Amino acid sequence: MSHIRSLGAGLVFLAGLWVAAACAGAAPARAAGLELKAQLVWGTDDQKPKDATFKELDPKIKKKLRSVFKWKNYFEINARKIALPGNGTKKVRMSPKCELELRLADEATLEVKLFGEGRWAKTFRQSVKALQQGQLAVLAGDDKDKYGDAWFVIITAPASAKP
Amino acid sequence: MNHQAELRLQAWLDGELPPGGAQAVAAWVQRDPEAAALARELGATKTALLGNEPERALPESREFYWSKIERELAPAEAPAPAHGRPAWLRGWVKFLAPAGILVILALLLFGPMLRSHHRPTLASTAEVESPLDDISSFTFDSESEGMTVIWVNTE
Repeated sequence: MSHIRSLGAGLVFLAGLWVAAACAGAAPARAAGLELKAQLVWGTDDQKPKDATFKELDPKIKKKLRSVFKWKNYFEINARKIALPGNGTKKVRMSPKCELELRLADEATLEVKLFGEGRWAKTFRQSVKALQQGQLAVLAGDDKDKYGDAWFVIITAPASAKP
Repeated sequence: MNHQAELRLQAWLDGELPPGGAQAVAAWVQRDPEAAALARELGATKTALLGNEPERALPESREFYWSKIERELAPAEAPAPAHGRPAWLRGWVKFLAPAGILVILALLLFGPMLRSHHRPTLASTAEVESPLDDISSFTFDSESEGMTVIWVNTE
């Protein structure tokens, strides 16, 4: 009878250990912040307007966009550097019609909400590690103001920045 | 004569009735010719079966036949032979075996959860939610260009 009691006690102890370990593993780690860059880009086949203050897009990113999309020219309309805290949300206005809300869902996942004309349009989640390894996260859509053109929001994370 | 009466008569012949019931059936057989005839017939059948049962000869002697059956039964009843482990080790094995099963179960249940939290995925696959019905999207991963594109369609 005594060996049955010790067996039961041992099993209960092990079960408790594993539940504790699983809860510790399952609980989201406290993230430590992330440096990001968000760029609003206009994709078009037209030339840059003469009086426009748009900047030329980084050639590497431009090359990537050209490889995937049909447009010849890509202009940076706006760019914002974002210091995302480990806890908390950051709102970034890219244009009067485009707003982003960013947060670290956990230390490995960036969550981005896109607001178009004040309406929450889309949420997506991206691997932080992928971003830090040079991956681009691109939100895009048709330009409502000019038929045939497109808008892009490109989110990147500099490789040196670590969460 | 109904079937119940026939069965009662058969039971009387087989000695299965209580004393009171047996007397009643005996009196009934005395006065009822049909019952008496049936009783005679059943009795004759019983005698014939008892006296002429075919003898089934076993291929081997009775003792050998039953000893074979006994040998077949014996290993199932005998206790498991000792493996030569010390008593203290046997105790630990009894504890570790179910504990090991518990560990494996826990790994199977919680392993994927732990992996997803501690090993950030290198894949750029993005999860997308679309809260509005008039906005749809499709996701495209370009591994060659290192880009995840979420194209938003507004209707």
